[in-house]
Amino acid sequence: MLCQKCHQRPATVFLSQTVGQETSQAHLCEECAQEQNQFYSEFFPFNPFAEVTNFINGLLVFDQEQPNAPDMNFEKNEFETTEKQLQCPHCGYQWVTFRQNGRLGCPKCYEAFSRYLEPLISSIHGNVQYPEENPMDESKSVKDKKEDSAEDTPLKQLRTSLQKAIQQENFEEAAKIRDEIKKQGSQHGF
Amino acid sequence: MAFEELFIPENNWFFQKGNKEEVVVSSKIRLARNLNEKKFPNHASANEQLEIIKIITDTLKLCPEFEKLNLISLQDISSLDRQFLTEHQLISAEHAGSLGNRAVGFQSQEGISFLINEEDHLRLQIFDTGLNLKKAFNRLLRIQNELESKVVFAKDARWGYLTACPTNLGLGMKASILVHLPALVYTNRISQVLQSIAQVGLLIHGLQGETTQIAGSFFQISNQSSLGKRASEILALVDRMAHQLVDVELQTQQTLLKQEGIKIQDRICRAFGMLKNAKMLSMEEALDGISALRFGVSQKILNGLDLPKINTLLILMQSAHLIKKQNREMSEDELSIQRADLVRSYLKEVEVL
Ligand SMILES: [Zn+2]
Ligand SMILES: [Zn+2]
Repeated sequence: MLCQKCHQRPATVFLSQTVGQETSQAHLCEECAQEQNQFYSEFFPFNPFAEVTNFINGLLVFDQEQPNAPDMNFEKNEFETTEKQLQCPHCGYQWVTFRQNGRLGCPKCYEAFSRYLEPLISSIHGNVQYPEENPMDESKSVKDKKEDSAEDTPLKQLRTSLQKAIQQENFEEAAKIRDEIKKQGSQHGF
Repeated sequence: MAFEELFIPENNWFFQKGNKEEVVVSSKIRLARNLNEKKFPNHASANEQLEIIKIITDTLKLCPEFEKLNLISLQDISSLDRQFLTEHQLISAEHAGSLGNRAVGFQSQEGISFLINEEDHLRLQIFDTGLNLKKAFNRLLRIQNELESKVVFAKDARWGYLTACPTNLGLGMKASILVHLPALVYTNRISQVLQSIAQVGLLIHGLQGETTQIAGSFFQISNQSSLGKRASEILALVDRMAHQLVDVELQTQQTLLKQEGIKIQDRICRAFGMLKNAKMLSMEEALDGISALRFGVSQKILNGLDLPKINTLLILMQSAHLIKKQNREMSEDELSIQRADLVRSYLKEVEVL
């Protein structure tokens, strides 16, 4: 999508601000986002933070290519066409809709669009993953740890065989084990 | 709807003393959760939205403590009622203003509400007065765990709880505090402080400022991301910041009183005089005045008013609350008159020490 301010460069920065009951949001390009003082007065109804510059809420970096730019590269056009047609098989949501509003259609969309979402998610959250042991509950994780050390849980065994399979470059086997871990993980809340 | 019970201060979480309440007005935890295999609210059809509401409310009712939960379909009530619930912090402005089938379940005394079909299928949120993140979190976690034992929430091994917007991935958790920093604003140290808050990855929002001046000196501070972190780390980060803010604000208040005591007392007493006598008060005038009053109460310059009462006044003086109380339509001027009446009634027994 294009920057809401200059309508020329692609929007790479997503800003939002809550003032009282009102939340204002804007999608901007890098340059326009930097002119923040001016920006706040134009895009937000109130301007309580005129002097605070470091106020970027989340950095949603969409891909840097301008979608409407004329392009002679055939392969790339073909790639863009597939991206435009990309759809979640579970709920029918289109990737282009996400690029317009920043919302997905269903939990399965994450799988369907994972290739495009990965870089975006890293740019928002950093290059991180959900911790393996239940990060919600301290007490539970301590208990799990004890169980883990006391005996080999099936999950732990699977993880060991996954490491082995990867070391032996047996990727077909590794993929199977990974799916099994995923399945078990979702039953046990990881 | 009348919401009569919500007008009784004792029936609400905010009418309670809190830890570090001189600076920290309230603590809030929110968790975003979605049902597996169901479309997110923005993409779901009207019938699918109703189905989501049914699954979640049925699950809630299975928990003994929520058998008597207040459940309201937001599409069935007036926009005034929705604004009232927003002012009462039970739903968000987005939840109030969006279209489609959506609902809220709440227990105002406990500060708990369940926002159904807001951006996500379910947002669990809990408030407490003062700085009390850990206790609030444990309370909400217990509820979350109980719900999760009955229904499957969408979750991924890499990205944690799956949410409609990728910014909420991970724990789907937001821990926030509402702080009151009048001395830091008065001494112009606030922008430096806010920048250092932003540098550690926390978000800052101002509260109801209508001009470049930050009305009332209230700020909300929260974590930005909850992916790749443990809940305890997030709580510790916000809690540490809260303690630092409490220390620096109270120190600044003390220094101010030492260095220009009479000037500060003058400001507080003038604000008190204005609020005690005004016949009309706009929301912003009231907020600014109450901010000064709060300073006066925490530094024992004023007597006869405590912080839970001020918290209550901040909620009850908002427009939809005034309209619901009078049970009739009102112009802006009438609202200002009602607001001034309410504020005066709270200040009857207040005196300058
Ligand atoms: Zn631009
Ligand atoms: Zn989908």
